[in-house]
Amino acid sequence: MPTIARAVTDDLPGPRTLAPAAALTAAVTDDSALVAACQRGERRAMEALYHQYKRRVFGLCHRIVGPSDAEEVAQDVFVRVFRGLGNFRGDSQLGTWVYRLAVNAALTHLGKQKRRGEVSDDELEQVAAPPTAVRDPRLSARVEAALRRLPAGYRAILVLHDIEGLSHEECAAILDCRVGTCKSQLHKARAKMRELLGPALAAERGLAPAGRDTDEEAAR
Amino acid sequence: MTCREAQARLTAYLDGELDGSTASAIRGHLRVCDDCRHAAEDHAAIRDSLAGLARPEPPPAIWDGVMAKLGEAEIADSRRSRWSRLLHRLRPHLLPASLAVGACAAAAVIVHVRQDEPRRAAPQAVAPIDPAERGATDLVPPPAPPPIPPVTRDATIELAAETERIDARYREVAADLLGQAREQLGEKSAARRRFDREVAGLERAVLAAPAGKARDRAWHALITFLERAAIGELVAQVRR
Repeated sequence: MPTIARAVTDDLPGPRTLAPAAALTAAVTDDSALVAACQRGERRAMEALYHQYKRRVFGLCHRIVGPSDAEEVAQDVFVRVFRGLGNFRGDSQLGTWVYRLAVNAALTHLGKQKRRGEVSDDELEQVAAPPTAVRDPRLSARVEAALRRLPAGYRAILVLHDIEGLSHEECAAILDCRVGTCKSQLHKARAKMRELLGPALAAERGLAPAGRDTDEEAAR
Repeated sequence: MTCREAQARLTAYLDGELDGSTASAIRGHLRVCDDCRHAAEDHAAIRDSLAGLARPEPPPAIWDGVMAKLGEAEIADSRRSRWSRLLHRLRPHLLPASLAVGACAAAAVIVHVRQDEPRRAAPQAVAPIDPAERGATDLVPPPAPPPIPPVTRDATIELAAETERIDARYREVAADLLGQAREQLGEKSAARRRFDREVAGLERAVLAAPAGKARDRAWHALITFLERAAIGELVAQVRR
């Protein structure tokens, strides 16, 4: 450990300063009226609910099951939503409930795939990454690839907390676990990501070159 | 602060969940520890990269697919029998309901087991048996039935009645044998007193045994003893 302290002005990594990308509470305007209309089978209300949640549901499915099955799983999620709305009593927020159905559907789909031996990490990694909007596109592509190599549980917590920007309390409600478990899973998931991204992160820090082949991989 | 402590709190620090003094201690540690600072930078880069990933655009066909699947599901509903539809509608409530039924069953078993316990303690509760004062027909007074809680009344009434019938048959046989044995032994003798003490011990065993196999075994022990006494096999031994 070096003994020379860094200057106070040095740029240390710090807490997140941006507002969460999509807090559930901010998205909800009048869920109860929307739910009541959907329960009556009003087509326009169903369409409104679909448009309210389609990006989040599809994004979550895309990250957890991969792009090839995301559409099918997202459809299943909305079918479950509309058929299950009759039993929705408003004990949780509508957004939390929809997310929970989506995570369960995605993890169930992955479980079925795994049992059938259909899932392949290499195959997933070769799929083109969706457009990204961050500082270093190469790192983002690697982050996408590393995300797909994570165990499904770690992927789910990273998607909910870091990508969707939900709080630990919301994640815990969706994943049906305690807040402490949620935090510990997030810590382990980020540590695993760091392990998978080692050279790329070192390059990001400017300590070591990422290497030609990793650049080529990122370009894919 | 050690590296281990700092790294364990890294996620909480980066997510702004630590109090001011702990966050300050972390920052202080990061200033002097390259390894932990690199870890923090990596975690922050991962967090920021993930937060910056664009949400993929859902294809427009999803809505049509949802509507088609909903239509298929409704057609399937129309082909289901009335019972199947009812089952499907009740499915969300079935697990809680089955858990409630299970809990009631468990409570009934516990109540039933507990109501047997006073019978085991009965020898202390009933009046002490004095063989000298007892006649030939007062063999083994029936145990007082414990109060039956309303919840388990139907099942336990039937069980108690059956136990009562079995005990009555044993008691009848034992009383008959006891009379014959006492005739063999006479009224006042050391052998008669030993015999009565032995019978009293076996009777207490009957009273202490819970209904079922244990009480059957106790009755068998008493009746076997009385049978041997009644036919005179035991009389000679007792007299000796």
